[in-house]
Amino acid sequence: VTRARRRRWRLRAACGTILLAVAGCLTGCGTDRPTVTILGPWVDKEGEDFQSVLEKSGLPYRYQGSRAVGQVLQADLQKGTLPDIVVLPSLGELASYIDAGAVYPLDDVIGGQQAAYGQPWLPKVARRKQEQHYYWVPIKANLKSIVWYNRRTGFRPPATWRDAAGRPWCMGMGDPPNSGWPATDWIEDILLHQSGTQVYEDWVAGRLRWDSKEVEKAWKRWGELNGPGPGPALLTSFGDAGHGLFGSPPSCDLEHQASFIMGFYQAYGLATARPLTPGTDYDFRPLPGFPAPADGSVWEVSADVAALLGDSAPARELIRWLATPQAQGIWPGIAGSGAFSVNSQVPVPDGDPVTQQIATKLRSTAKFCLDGADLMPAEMRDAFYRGALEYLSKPDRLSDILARLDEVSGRSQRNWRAPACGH
Amino acid sequence: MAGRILDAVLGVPVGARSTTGPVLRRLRTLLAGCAAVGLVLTAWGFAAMHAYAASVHGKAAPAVLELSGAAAALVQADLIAVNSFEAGLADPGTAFQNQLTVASQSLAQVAESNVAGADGSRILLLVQGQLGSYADLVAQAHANYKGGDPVLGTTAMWDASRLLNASDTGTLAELDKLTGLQQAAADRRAGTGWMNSWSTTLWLLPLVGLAVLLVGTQVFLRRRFRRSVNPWLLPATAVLLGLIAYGGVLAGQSRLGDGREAIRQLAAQRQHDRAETQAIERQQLLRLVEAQCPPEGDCGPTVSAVARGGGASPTPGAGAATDSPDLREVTNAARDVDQRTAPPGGRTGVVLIPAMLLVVGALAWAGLYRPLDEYRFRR
Repeated sequence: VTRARRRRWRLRAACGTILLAVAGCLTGCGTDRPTVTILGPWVDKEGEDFQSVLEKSGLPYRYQGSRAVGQVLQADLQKGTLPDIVVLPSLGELASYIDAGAVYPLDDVIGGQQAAYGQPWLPKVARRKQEQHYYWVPIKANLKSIVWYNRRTGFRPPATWRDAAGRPWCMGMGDPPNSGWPATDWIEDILLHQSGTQVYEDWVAGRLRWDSKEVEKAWKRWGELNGPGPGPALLTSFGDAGHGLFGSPPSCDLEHQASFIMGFYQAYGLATARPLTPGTDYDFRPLPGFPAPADGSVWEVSADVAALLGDSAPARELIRWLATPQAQGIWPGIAGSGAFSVNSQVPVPDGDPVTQQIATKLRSTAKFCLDGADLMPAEMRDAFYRGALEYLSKPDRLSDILARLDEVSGRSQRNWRAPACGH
Repeated sequence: MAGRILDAVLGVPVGARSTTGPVLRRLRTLLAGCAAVGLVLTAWGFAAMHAYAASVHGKAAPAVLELSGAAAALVQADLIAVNSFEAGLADPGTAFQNQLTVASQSLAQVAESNVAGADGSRILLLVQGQLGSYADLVAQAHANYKGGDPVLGTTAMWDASRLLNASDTGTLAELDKLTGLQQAAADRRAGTGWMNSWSTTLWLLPLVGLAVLLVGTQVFLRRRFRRSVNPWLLPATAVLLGLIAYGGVLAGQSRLGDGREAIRQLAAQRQHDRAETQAIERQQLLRLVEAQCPPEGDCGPTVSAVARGGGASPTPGAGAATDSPDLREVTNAARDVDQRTAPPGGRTGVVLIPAMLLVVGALAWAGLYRPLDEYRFRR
């Protein structure tokens, strides 16, 4: 009887152990770390490059790239299915999400890393009238205020505005539904270099009217480059405009575009099986006609920034990783990527002289001002884009266009409360 | 032979008569067990197969049809808008609005039928957003033409058309991506869970085992009780064999594969039809924009690229440009897809197979009842 009882006990103990193991497995060992969802603006090659940064984090992630990232995010917000992390190219748009309380502060996430990013890349911003926090990490920066030219033709970029105005410029305004932004880049750049950072800051913040003499002058100076009619600029995509530089013969001498255009030039070369090498086939110069002021040079810049929308430990860990110099160095280290980091601890990447020059400038002690249109409320920004297209079509309507922009400015809610410029 | 195998399986010593009773009882238990396992597995397997087929029939196929319908409506809308602006009419009119409404309604249907999960939903939301931007750009073109600024009007129409037709990021390209995702999701479901070939084998095996057992039992009874045929087991075997054949036909992936192929063919056909309309639209759009190009004729690299890409000349009789695709063809093709993706065997198949297995089990039980009774009487 004792033996039978012992056997029964052993059987029960074995069953209990098996049940516990099964229960443990069901509740514990079967659950992996949650996957971090990331929404960003990069697709194709750029998307792959960004994912190589995410891959190295060792964290499970799911990246979704969309060129219409703002629209997708808006739809996600309406559905209540926000990604854990979003990368946005427009800080003004991100500011509206911060105001809406959809973005988590990163003060404890980026830790000591904030010192590696200067201003205006990583300011502390306040949500409405609450205390200030860090809300994003810059992922990819662009240097603006530069013009590109073909080195092979022996063309020497003009040094004065008068000379620049006499040259044929490659221009493409098309990027539906955001057509017109290349024109606004021009106007912002001219205003910044012509009137200085204080005027620029005031204009971005809505303190300087659109019909002020400084702003009007900037529009008119841009108009000097456009010739008598709109030409093909209105029908040309921004990504196609640079083709003219490399035609034979070239149909234009100069292109005003941010550093990301190197990726497009590389694609032109691939499409024609005649690779275009930076430094040999093309190079850049600062915007002509505006010598550097006594207190140092000033550059217009833009940045794609990552923000935290889903507060989970893995998502925080991933943002922390993205802010590190190790992560920041991966993408710029990919040859021909056209990616630049503004983390001062990331070494200037090896490679062609053009990439090195841009990387060096972005880490210099110069003054940087963020793209003004990016910091404006969406309604204001869209009106600016449309106004620029209208000006290109009918330059004589400038006063009407500026009056309309002032009207839109008057009713727009400004979300951006940090300085537009810094160093 | 089958009887000997059965003896060996059941552990019956050769020629031992005294074991007949236990063997009969074991046989009855085995037959009942096989029938029960078969019942559970076939019920499960067929329910899964039916659910899959229903999801292709009720979701993936309608989603693909609606997507191609939305794309066709958008291409028509674009053509109508370009035609009206080219003809000097500032307003694209109600025909344009109707096509946009058709596209919006189709997208709303896709949202209900989407089988491509979160990725599908995201593309759908993106497309709906782009549709709003497209309508806004056409409205801008309308306002500009009406306000006497044909240059800005043409620019807005050009932008609208690029938004729709751009080869990699345009709305139509996104709709094609979404169509691909719907098809891929249907294909993936066909190869997973209860729809793969292993699961088909898994639920067919007990039925085949049951058939072997029934034949073996017949042989065993013939040897032990000297009766040529057991009148209960014979119909049970016949029903079971019919069931295996019917199940095999239904489970054959060919019909579902056929349905998926039908969807693919229809999507490809609609894309082809759409490409013809797009080619006509491109030619008319190019005529519209060339009017505002500089006198020397340089419209810039984007217009040149579109003109090169639009090498496909419009089909003869461009007067039919705004005609919709042949409605009868569209309806017939959709009906064909509907028939070819219908769940195999309908709902009756799902009920019939387990019910017939119950009958087989009952017949087998009844078939062994009399020999057992007889054996008890003999003993």
